Amino acid sequence: MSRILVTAAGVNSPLGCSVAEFMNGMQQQVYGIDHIKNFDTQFFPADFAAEVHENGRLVKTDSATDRKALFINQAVRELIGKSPDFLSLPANKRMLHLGAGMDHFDLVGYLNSADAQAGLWQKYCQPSDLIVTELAKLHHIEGGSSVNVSACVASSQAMGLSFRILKQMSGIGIITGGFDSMLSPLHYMGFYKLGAFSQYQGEARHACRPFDKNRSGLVLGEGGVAFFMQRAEDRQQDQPMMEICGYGCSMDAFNITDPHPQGTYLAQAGLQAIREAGLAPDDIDCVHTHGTGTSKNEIAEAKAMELIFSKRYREIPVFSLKAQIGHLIGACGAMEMLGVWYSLDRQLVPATLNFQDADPEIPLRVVKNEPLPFPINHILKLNSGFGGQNTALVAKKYHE
Amino acid sequence: MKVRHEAYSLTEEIPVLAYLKKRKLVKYFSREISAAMVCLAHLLAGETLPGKTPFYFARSHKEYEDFDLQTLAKACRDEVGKFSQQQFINRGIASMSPLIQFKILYNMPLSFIALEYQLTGDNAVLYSSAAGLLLQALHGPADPPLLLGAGRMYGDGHVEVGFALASKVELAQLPFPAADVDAIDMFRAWAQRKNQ
Repeated sequence: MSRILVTAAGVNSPLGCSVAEFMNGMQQQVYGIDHIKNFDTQFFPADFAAEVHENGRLVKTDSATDRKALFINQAVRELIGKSPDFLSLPANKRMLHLGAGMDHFDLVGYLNSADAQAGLWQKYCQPSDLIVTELAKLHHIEGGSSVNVSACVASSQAMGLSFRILKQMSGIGIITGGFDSMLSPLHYMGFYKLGAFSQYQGEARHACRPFDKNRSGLVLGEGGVAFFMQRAEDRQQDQPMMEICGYGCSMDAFNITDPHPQGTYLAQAGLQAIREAGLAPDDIDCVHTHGTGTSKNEIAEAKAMELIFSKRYREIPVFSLKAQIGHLIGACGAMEMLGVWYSLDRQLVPATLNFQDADPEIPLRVVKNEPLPFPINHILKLNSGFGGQNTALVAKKYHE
Repeated sequence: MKVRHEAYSLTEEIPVLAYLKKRKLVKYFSREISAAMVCLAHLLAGETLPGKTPFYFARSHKEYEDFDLQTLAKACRDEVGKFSQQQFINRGIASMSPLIQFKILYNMPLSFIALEYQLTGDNAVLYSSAAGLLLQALHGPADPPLLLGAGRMYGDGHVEVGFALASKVELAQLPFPAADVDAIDMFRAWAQRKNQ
């Protein structure tokens, strides 16, 4: 069985615009969530979000710019700069499989144009796959590409597809990951209408409170992250970051707005990934959860944990990155895999920020205040999507 | 391999209620979702899908809007006809139905079909590309059959949908589409070939 490695990465995130800056943000427990600053929110009923920052400064754009395209463009550029193995591949051996969010729509530009009178909105809409086509051309990627748009599991499904392709094909390399930004007036308020936003009344940085008894909803984030994946035997000069060894995927088929309350199919995805990795649940050292900060998600996720780990589900350390970077929707799973790598690299489970008071309905061991150091070999990464899709990935610390 | 391809013009009624067990869901449906439900029901013709059937769906670029953008646009303008954030919040957002999100989120056709047919297996929603959809199917779990689907809303408001129930072996024998082929074009071609 071939081993599938992640050997390079690039990122634009609320914690920073390089892998080094992201890792530093993890270590320093930086809060990426604040009030929206990239566009005017004077009359908005809500304005919490995690916007992309570089060296502490907001990445500012105008309303016509598709921020998520900008972020993935820069993330891929960083990745390629660190991956001699990607550069050594012929074009037909390079693939690109990314997860993305919704098309960018420049509502302000449209309404301020003459086109609005005639209803000619199409040219103000930037399809999410456009940047992927451009990236493929720019970086001579001719082995195939795809754009997954499965909402909150889009990027983890893109990573899962890349893992599956690499299990079956040698001599290739895949850039995978995800990109999204719902931080434009139309998308932000459209999401607001779904009623899932945090109702927190205090400081913005405390608004997303995964697993906390007083959690009140999610906060949107944005960013782009790219990983280079290849088989271990194909690796030449790249430095291994981690091994991906299992992937599972399922649907709840329960309710369009709510997760399955028993976490049945999230658990199914988790167990499928653990089995594929050739492991048993007891081999998993910690879990990086979906952990949105919404009431129903966390309860369902705790039930899924119980189904996966039986009695051990109260003991295994868990973490959610969303308290720091918000919910990146189409990019969340892949961005959180960078958190998984942080855990494997530093051999610790980070503290879930803003987790203060445990919820009796969620008897999980959420790491609080300070990171928990201990030997970590295998991490289970869980994600769930609006509409009922679930994914699980198992990552392993790289050993020769 | 079973294939079905259907199209409806803007004014044509899509008889989705006749094919729906969970009829209350219809309020959430776009015309693309309704057409997909009908097309899939025709493809299956009463056959029951195993719950673990892998299901992959491709969305095409949206050329036609059915989410009241013009109503929103009208509500957001100030006295000189420019975008006003205050009007956007006070009138524009209020004019939007909360159900609109269900019509525009890309994974909704897959999610509603999964709900209707109780599908809990492997899945993905891909953007437009036939090659991407096939890659997903060919590298998914081996259990036959796989359910593949695609939909597209055109600029003139007509909607086109296609579905196939096939094994990986059958899919692997078909010519692999070029990178720029839209998924719905592949279903149309499959259906035409079958009818010849």
